[in-house]
Amino acid sequence: MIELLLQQIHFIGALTLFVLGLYILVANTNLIKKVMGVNIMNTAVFYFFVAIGNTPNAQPPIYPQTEAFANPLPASFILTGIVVSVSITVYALALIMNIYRTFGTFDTKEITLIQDGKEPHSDDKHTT
Amino acid sequence: MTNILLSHLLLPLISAAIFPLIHERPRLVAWLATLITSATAVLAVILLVHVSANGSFSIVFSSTTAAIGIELVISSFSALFAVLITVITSLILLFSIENIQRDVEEDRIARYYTIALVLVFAMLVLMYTNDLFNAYVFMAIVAITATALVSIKQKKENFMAGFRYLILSEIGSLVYLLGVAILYLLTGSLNMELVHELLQPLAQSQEIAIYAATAFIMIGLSIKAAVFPLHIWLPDAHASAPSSSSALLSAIVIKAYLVIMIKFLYVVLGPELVTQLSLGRYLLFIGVVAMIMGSFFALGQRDVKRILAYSTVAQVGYIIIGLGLMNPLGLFAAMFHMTSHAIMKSALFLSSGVFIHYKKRRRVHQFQGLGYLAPLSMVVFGIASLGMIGIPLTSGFVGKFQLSLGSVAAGESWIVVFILISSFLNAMYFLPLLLRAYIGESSHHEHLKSIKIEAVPKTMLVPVSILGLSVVVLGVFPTPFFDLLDLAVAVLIGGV
Repeated sequence: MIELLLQQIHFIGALTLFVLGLYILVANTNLIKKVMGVNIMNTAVFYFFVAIGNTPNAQPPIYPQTEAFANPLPASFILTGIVVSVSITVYALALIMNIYRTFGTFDTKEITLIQDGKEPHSDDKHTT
Repeated sequence: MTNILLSHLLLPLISAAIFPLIHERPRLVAWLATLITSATAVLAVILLVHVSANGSFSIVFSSTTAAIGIELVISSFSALFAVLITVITSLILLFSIENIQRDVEEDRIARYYTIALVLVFAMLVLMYTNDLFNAYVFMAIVAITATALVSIKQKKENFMAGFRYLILSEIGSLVYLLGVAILYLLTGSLNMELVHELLQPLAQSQEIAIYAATAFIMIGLSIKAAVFPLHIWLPDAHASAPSSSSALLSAIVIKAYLVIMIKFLYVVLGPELVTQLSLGRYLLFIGVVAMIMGSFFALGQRDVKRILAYSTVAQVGYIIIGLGLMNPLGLFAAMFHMTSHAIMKSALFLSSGVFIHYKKRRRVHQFQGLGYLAPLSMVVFGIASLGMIGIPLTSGFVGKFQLSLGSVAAGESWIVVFILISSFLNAMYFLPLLLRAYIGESSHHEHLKSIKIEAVPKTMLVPVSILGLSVVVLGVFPTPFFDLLDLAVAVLIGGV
């Protein structure tokens, strides 16, 4: 049992992080915390991807080449993945800034209240 | 041909980089964007003609071998959808020239077109790509640009709709990437065709892992393509966006993700593996639920753009059914329906854009007498909604007919019943709009003698009429298009 767990440790770790991030995303009403949750999910997937490239007792891929070496490709994929994740985060934060400017709050519940209560129904406001 | 492919891809990207430099002249930017997208469309047609005659070709970036590098494959399948994307986008951009300043501030118009062209570029690469990780990167670009097209309109609901869209797209991307990681673990490759070859010997021994990877990838793509239970971001985003953005998102962007789904099902897994995983049955079930529930939600809406948005959810259901049938006829029907839905939905969104622009009417009860006030757009709206219902002589009918043929051929005749039910539901929300527009109050009937084409700019009416016409043309003379689709299906699963 323990052996099986240790064999799959990366997968279990990544999945735990992923579910943790998903929980933060769903359970919080604060928009910034939601973005943090997405970032944790990102980290989980990147961790899993990098862990795949690991070979037991391996050398770094560039020198020396005679030994067994770790797969360098996943790391380079994840470098791209991090860039993607950063740009999504930046864009989400920019949107949150605009949301804060218009609604004066980060809380999704309050935003829904403002959209439903104090304002007329959201469908009516398009025709300006 | 490589040069044509490269110029075809780089033209929108480079012009997107130039637009911010001339942002003081928004009208010039708008016209340039339209022209450049049309030029891209012409190049895509050249590529399609070439691959139809000479068979597909591929080009590898960043390495000499396809196993490590990024491979773009130009086949009659990918070139066909590249043509669809560029042609419809250029029509939508032509429409937006006179319309966009209603929704977007003057100093943001250049940004709008920059984003639109980056979106076109990213979707074209998605069509051609043969690499699972490259698809992830470009899906992220599509996600950011598509969100920007929603939230560029500085309205309260746009920010929230954009945020929800962005976060859900990102979750979709991540779940997809998790599935790709499992496939990489199994095969050590990310090239779609290589993964397919390497998966075949593992099909029995690693079935659970393949199952998990498939589940992750399909769920990720389903979030992005708004397959029924995962569609929650779609109505807000599509309804609150500017008219031309709604048309782009609903007609084109959804299709780009569906093309990736087709590639995953038919290139990466292949029909045998899909049958072994009995994925088809799940897809059929989800598709049926989507097409019924999407129509039900549309029935409850009072805003024409929300009706159209929910109708997209229903139509994605049809396409998923076509994919789930796992026979050539089903795939054929799915691809035909993708094309016809792209045309019909952009016609519907653009003509409702005319109503909103010209008469400021977007609620259902405001459609009273619109058939006399905006005759041309209402005719196009009528044709396209009849197409959505599936009345003969429209492309929607041909699509639904092919889909029914496919379901009977696959021994799943029960689906035909649900297709009929869904068509009735479609009629229940589209016909009241048409009846209101033409019958409604009698006070409008006196306008009948002095009936005039609505006074909106020609650049708005031309694309609307072209789209309306093509719905009928595709419905009456589908045969030339069938030949192209046959070639595309043959690329994916040899011969119909």
